[in-house]
Amino acid sequence: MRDKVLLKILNIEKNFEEVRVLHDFSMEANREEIVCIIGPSGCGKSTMLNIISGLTLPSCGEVINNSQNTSYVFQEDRLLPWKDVYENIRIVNDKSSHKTCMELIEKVGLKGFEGFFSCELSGGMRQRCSIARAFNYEADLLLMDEPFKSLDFNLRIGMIHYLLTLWESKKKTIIFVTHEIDEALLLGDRILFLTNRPTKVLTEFRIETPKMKRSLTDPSLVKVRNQILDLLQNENQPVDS
Amino acid sequence: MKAFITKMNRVFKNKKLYNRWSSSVGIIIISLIILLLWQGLSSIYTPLVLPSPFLTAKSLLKILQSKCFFIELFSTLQRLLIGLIASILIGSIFGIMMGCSKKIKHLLEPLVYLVQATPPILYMTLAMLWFGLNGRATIFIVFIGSAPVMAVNIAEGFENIDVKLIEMGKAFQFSRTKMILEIIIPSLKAYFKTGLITVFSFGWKLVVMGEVLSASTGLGAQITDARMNLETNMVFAWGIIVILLCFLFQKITAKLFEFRLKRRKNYEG
Ligand SMILES: Nc1ncnc2c1ncn2[C@@H]1O[C@H](COP(=O)(O)OP(=O)(O)OP(=O)(O)O)[C@@H](O)[C@H]1O
Ligand SMILES: [Mg+2]
Repeated sequence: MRDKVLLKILNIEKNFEEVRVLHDFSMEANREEIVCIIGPSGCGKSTMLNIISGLTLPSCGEVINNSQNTSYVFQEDRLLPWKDVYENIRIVNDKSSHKTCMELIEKVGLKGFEGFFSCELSGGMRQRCSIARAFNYEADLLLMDEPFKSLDFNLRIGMIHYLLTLWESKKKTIIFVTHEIDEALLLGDRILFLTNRPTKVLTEFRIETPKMKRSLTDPSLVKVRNQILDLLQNENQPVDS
Repeated sequence: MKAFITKMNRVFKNKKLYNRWSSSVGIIIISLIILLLWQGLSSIYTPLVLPSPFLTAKSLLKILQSKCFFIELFSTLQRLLIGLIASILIGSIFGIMMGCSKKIKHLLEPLVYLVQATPPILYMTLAMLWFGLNGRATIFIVFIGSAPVMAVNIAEGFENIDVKLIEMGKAFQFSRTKMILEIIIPSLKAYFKTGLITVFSFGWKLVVMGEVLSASTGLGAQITDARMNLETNMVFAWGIIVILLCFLFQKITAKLFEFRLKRRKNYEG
């Protein structure tokens, strides 16, 4: 009964007034898969995640979302300014226990900052709080929009490992938007490389190495990395990498 | 001298202390200048035109010592509070309705702006005709003057709710109640507070004006009495009382509705 495909987007189109953002865009994600999306700034990645989560309606096309619940790490932190870190994390799940929340806080490295309000946190700390919030919400589909931006190298590696262990235990499906090729290489089962507006999937890379065993010096990853860099050079799009 | 300077330097490093110090110095200087001017001018004119500060102070003491002061104050406060509570309730309801639905907003907005644009003195004239020369006209004018201010503030608060936070609530499937309690009401708090503070000081001025024109009791009525008896010193004394009370009132409301975030909880254990 359980469909292998969790999420299917068919020929969707999205226009904001005269700006055509998505045109005839299709993609799908299987259960337990991590799909990474790389694409130029402003090409419509966040718009697509909003469409998947149901916050935005496509102008036309079809979205089949078989997940029970969808969790979302927004591009901006979107924390409630009148709630502290702990309350912001706990609010999305009334059933979550005090212990789980404290564990999440510790895992994202915010221990000791439970009582801080978002205006008292740095950008990266806010970002981590919003990641912890998304993890606290019971969901089988997780949308992440550049979740590790404004984190330093060590934190970033730490978060990638944490995300992978989480994925190991809970086997969520994750759609992961990023500008960092390395993040995509370490996390993705597939990497979708998008063109600029009107946006389409230009190339799809499949990485077979098991996620827990990957290393950036791995020849297979280096090969994919070079291919992506070539594409970027041809596209001539500035991407921070 | 040197020790004094270093001490002062240390005091001024503390910015808060410095601000407080310099603001009270400002108040003292301004008061002194006003007092001097007043004293100088009052020696030129007769007490009927401009009573001297000393005479005014004497009248002020007389008023404060009399029993009737508190009775008058009480009746003024009573009118003010009735008018304000009514205007806060009705104004908020209008504001909420305008905030919740664009259609209602388009319907009510012209009405609210019309009520707001009409000069209070016009309402006063009408109220005197409708309610006669008693306290009710005053209550009415406090109400009609303040309610639109409240409504506009609340409606403005709705306009400024962060759509991104609402989206966040939707994404995490907040229930309707949760959405209202956790996102909408906290977003409106600041606007409600500004509305309250504006309405409180505005209402205070309106209640005095209403009483001056239409009442036989209350602080405003005392000003009228003093004018009729040609006791300019009493007019000044009552005026000072009204100003000080208004100032006090404003300070108290600002303190009362100070929403502070600093209430760090302890999550350990
Ligand atoms: N609410 C909106 N109204 C009008 N245009 C919008 C709106 N949201 C997005 N757009 C437009 O859609 C396009 C894609 O925006 P989107 O936020 O999806 O880009 P993105 O791929 O996430 O970019 P980035 O990598 O910089 O986050 C942009 O050109 C933007 O101007
Ligand atoms: Mg984006």
